[in-house]
Amino acid sequence: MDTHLITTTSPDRTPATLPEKSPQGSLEKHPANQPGPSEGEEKKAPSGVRAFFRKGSLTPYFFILPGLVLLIIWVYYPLILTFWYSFNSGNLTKGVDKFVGLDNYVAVVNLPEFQQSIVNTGLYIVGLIPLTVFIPLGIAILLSKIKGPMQTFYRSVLFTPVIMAPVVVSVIWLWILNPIQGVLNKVLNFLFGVDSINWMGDSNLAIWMVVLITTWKVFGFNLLLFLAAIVGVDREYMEAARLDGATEWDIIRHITFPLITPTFYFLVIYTILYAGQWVFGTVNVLTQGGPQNTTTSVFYILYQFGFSYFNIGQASAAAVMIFIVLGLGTFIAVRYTDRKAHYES
Amino acid sequence: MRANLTLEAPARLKPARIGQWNWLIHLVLILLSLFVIFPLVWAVITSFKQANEIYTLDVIPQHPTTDNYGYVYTAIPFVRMMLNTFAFALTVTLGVLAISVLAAYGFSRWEFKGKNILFLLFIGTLIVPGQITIIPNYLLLAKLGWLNSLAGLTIPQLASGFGVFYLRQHFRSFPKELYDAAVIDGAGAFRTLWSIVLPNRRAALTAFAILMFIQTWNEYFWPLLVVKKYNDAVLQVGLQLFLQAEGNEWGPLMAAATMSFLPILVLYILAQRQIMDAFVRSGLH
Repeated sequence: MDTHLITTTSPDRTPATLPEKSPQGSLEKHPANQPGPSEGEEKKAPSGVRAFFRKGSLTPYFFILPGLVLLIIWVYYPLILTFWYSFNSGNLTKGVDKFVGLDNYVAVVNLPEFQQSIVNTGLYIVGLIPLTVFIPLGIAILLSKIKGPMQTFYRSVLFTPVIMAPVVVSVIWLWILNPIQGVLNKVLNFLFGVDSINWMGDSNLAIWMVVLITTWKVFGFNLLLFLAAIVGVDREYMEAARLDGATEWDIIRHITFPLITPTFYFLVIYTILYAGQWVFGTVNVLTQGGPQNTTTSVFYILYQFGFSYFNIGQASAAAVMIFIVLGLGTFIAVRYTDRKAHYES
Repeated sequence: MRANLTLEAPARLKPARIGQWNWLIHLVLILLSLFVIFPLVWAVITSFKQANEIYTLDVIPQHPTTDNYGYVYTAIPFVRMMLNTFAFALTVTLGVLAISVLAAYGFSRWEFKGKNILFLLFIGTLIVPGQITIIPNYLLLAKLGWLNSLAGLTIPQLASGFGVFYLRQHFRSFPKELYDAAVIDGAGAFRTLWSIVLPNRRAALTAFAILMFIQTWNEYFWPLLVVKKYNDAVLQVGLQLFLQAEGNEWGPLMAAATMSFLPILVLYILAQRQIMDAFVRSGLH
């Protein structure tokens, strides 16, 4: 589940505070004054291993250990294995076979399916950025003009899809988009006499339908990030500008925009890096990458290499390439936005 | 004269100017809300329609029926899958919470050798998507005989740097003086965590737990690899198996979908503000 997130380097740049928040508990009622069992930490002179332990020098490691062990077993060790497998041939049911050098990489890069999945990932990004970054930005500005319970109401409603499971969402949309009996075609036919459209079966349309469903799912999240950033803009600035005769557009352009640029960059980068992943569930439920591989993303093709073709080597080679691109992308993005944020503040 | 204009005119005109456009803003937001809510409402409506009515555009079913729900209960082990999902979500939530609390506490209270590198190892997991490591993880799972099991579903999910990332922000702000006071009182490291730190960070911990629960309830990718049978399936996988088996039974499918999202929707309605806040803070989609 943590595959869908990215970190920013400094917490204060993360546009992460809702208008009304107060998640810290109070300090008043802490039971610090209760007597506890004395461990005599201060009493003995420290010496040797025992003292090292006593002084508490090892204590932090004990607290970190359970998590660390799990990370090594289920994240870092398999990550290394993925690199290793990418240089080997092998079948998912039989295991790794033999060392083949760069053969898997050459094979994967030359596969039309893989090339197609890169193009598709690009299309997902191109489709998602306007729909899930630009439009939510506009809507957030509108929403910030409305105060009180209505704002809360719209916010709650528009956020609902974010908590919905991708599979549930996909099954429901599949019904809405059903070519014969789906409500969308029925309404289009009723209103405009349009013939039934095979939304998910048409190789020109399917990818945009996945974009639409993904937009439906993530729109509210991005909207809320923008809204939080806008509400965070100091009201005094706006009042002062208004008194100076600034129009609403002036205020948006010269006050709101510059202050929400970090959020904007964050979301654009986030979308570029993760678009291929967001669509995974929807693609697997709705199209399995079809029709004619027009809806695969790089993450989906890697899954297919492994679990449809059982090809360990090629799946791992694809995984390594994606990982390197993703890692480099994240690294550059973090550096770039860091500098950007400094210029602006 | 001019000063008068710039000072007074806008202040007087302002409310009128926004008010003028207010209805348009509401119109846009209402249309958007309808777009967001419609699929969910349509799923619920469909789920109460009789088979011969499913293909109509009626918003209110002529002869409302619960047959579709009955069908789901008899056709697939839905209750079983619901319980599986609940067990899965609860175990992962509590497990990740425990592990992350310990580590976040370790990182935020003490300075120690290798701290930065160790912390980087935790944070680093955030840029290793689950798909990257599926092949070795799947092979390991098969070797351990954990396919189709709760252990196979949950234990790999506990390896998460996200909790440490999320909780450390809250733990770091914990006043050092209170630690000192605890030492003077003779409280050990664990006792300090349990009876001083945790009670004071209850809000953050609750928010994190709700977030984890929703994410795990909705988790699809890992269960997809681990379970292949209805009886071991969580809802997300079961729903897809059901779709593959009965692709055109839209009434039962919508009934199953409705029952799958209902628990999370209820949770959301009860704790909207905390949930929105937790999601936005965490950057989780």
